[in-house]
Amino acid sequence: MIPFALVAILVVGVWALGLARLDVFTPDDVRAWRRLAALRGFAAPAGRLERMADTSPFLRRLQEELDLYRQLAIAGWSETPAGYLLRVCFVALLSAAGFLALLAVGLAELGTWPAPPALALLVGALAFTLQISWLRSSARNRREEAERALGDMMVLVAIMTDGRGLQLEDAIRILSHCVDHQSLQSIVDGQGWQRLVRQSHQTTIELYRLIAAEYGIPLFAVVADAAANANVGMSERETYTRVASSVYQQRLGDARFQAARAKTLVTIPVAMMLIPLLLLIGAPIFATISGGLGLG
Amino acid sequence: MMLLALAIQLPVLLVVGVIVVLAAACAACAAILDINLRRLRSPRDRQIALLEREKDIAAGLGWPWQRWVMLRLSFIALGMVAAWLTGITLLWLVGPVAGAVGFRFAFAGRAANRRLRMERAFLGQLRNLRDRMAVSNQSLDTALQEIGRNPGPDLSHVLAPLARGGSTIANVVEMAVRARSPIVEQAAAVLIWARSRSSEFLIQTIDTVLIPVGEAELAIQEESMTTLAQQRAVTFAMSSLIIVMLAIALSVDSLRAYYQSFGGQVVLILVALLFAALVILLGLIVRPQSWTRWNLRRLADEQERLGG
Repeated sequence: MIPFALVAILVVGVWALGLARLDVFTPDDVRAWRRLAALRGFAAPAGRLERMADTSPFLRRLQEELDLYRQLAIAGWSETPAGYLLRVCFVALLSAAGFLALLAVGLAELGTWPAPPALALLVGALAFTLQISWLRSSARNRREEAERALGDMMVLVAIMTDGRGLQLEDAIRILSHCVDHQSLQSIVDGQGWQRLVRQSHQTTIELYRLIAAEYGIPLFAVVADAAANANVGMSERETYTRVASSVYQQRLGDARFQAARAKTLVTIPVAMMLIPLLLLIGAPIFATISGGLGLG
Repeated sequence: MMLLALAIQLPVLLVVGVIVVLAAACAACAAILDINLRRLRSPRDRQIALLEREKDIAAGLGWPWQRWVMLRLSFIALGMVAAWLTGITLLWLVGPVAGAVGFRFAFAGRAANRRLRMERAFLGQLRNLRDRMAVSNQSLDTALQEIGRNPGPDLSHVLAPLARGGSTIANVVEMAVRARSPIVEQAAAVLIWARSRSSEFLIQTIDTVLIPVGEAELAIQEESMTTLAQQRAVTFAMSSLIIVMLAIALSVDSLRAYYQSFGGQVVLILVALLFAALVILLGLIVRPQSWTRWNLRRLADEQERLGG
């Protein structure tokens, strides 16, 4: 009785916390001021955790990973952190309730629990964790896709800026429409970057540096540096082609590193292959012996 | 109902009730806040990407898409026949899956090898294009047409559109669509944008941009190929080992009787799951780099819109 009551209290507590995070208990004037400040691009006052994180790199990294607003923006999901958490909780609770309901059906049929009811908590926790890792993997994929597309378009940017006289940002914007995914387009086109980049900027170079910092795409900073070089008189074609070459050299280095590392790492699954093989041969033998001894 | 209430302990019902109420409350809040629950579905982009990867292998092998689909279906049927012959119920599930995945896996390496050969030949043809323009003084359109007429064995399918008349840009786009290769797509995109410039600009572009970048890309592909070859060799060895062991086990009457029983089927499921997990782990350890796909038709339209 007590564990279930504790679980119920915990769940109700989480729900109340969710409501608090949704600003349900915040006074209207405070909410209005916060909204105005956000609209005008003022930074919100740092929370207790943020102030603590500033003193420790590990905590800062942890905070970045747990910063749902940032993760959602990088993943390109349009939900608010509160809305996202609500959806995640809904799915996790539904999974737990569904599992418990299945167990209850089993109990009604068999007269005993087919599995310990506490497993439902594990199912709920698993559903919660899976959804959070899904968001993180989406954010990572989008970042990688955007960086890869930006690197691949540098050759074309060199041609378009030099041969056609297009501005760098226009060339990147046009080319981002011609990639088969929208990861880069959603950042550079239609001011999609505004979701994370709140600081004011005067030039494309500044904007790209801010995007590099906020979205964690270092290639934007490289492109910004190249654009700064082009602005002081270096040939655009030469400058951006050099960026493209360095991107490909970097990828070549990564590919070589991966190939070298793979040689060692493939031994792990090969060694683990012994487990299913032993199981395949050992299981019937074990069943025969245990049957012969009257154990089965 | 009374019996059911007695059978099910009340606190559990209470917990289920609280959880269901909270889940319903979350759902109601989600509905009020207009949260996108469709996010739970697999995105269409990913489904298209999966299909594109299948088409890549078919194109890499030089096979029409229909033949690839037919062969995959045949191997799924073969898996079912194997299940029917052995009489093991579980193989009705494992057989078709193994047929579908195994066939793709068996030919993926060959397709990648063939594509790499085609890309090497394509870089050779780029040099040929440059020489035709610089030495023989041909225009880009004429040089492309000439190359399309003598493409060589590895590029006959890819460069065939260049030999026909009509719009050069449309032919270049068609060439890239047929190739399904990062190097060819990159070169086609550059040719589309640089076509309207002077011959000198084009020659310089090929010399300073296309060939060096293409060679770097080819080196990356070759390195990825090495990684892929390792992955394939290990997976083949593991698959052969498990198939041989399974065949040995099923050829012995007593062992076959065990694997036809319920307990044996559970063991087979476990073995199949472990094997699948190990293959997935191997795929995660050695993952070749992916590349950016260009929508060249859109690129050509953008180029047209900005004044050809």
